Amino acid sequence: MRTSLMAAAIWTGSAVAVFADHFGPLKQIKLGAKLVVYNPEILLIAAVSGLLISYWSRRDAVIGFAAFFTGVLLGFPFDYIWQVDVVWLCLLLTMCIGAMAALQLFPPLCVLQGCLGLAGMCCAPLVLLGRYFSQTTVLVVGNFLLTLFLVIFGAFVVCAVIGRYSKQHWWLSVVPRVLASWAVAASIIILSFQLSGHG
Amino acid sequence: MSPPKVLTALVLLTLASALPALAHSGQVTAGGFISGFTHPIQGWDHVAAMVAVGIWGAYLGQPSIWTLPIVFPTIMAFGAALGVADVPVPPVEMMIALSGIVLGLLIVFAVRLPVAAAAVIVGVFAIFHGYAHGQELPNAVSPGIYAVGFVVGTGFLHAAGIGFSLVRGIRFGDYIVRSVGAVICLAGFGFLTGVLS
Repeated sequence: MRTSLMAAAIWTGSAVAVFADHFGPLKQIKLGAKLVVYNPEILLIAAVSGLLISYWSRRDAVIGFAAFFTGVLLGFPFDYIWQVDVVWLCLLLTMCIGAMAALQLFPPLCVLQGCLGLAGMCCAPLVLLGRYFSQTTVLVVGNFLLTLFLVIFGAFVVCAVIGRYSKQHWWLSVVPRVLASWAVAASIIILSFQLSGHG
Repeated sequence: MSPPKVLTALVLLTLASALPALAHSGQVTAGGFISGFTHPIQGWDHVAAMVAVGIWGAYLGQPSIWTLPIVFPTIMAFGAALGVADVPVPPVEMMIALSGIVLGLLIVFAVRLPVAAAAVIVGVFAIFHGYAHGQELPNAVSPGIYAVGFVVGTGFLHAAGIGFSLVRGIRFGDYIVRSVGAVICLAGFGFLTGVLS
């Protein structure tokens, strides 16, 4: 795990630093956060990933986070090399993970962790394509990763707290399922929009 | 009903009826999350049906109280997909008005159906509500954020309906809830006949 993370970090580091600095540091930091907040596909997949991780034990949750961010780090160089549009894959993954959480039907843990890795891999190309491509700097990527972590961790904490108190109030136990179904619904709409040719 | 529950119901109702105080209502939000969020809330035909789904779900109890708010937005998303793709469907506005009438009557008579039957009824109407939202989606500045907004807005309306059902715990609460069902039904007639818009 450590070796793969380190290899991914070195690979990313070698790819990220080549881009020119168009903005001041503060603007770069703000841009990093905006890349997460203004991208509904990323927000949705990050939220459902955090929700999914909240069902796991502490050890598995840490591995889940590591799988996701390893995927993100691996995704950056893939984007620079091939520039693949993976928005549809990101939305499909959101639907799958959201549906699993809504129905409470989970495949084996290793499959889910693979899904999280793939989800992370989809996040990176989404933000770096298009208009932000030439403005990508280390600060932007750094704050993008931090904001992404905060969104996933926020979803994880909220759902974990809900899970803890759901023994006292039964209705709390259905809140994550309802939220997951909303994520699925939003993903269906966005995907249909993309496929219809309007996007 | 205990005071905290009444207080919760009142807070939910107030939240559902409140409009956001926007300090910066610039182009960032236009056609984005706020537009999507307020779209179902500003259309009274949507409000009536979606609140009715919450109230009826609460009437039916477990598991409908939470399955209906899951089924409605999910099927609504498929309806929105039809709307985005401009697939022709039966008169949308008529079906939306009809949803108010049917759901209002189900509340008035406190009709208890199996969860599958309830999900089918709610799902059929959800397609038309979604279709109406979906047709406006291509005009949004940020369609993705708009979509998230209107799904969340719909969910809040269901929650408002479920929260309002807590009123059933107080004296004459059941009559109050059924009266609201009657109001929703009448509003549906109003939308259908064009008296309300």
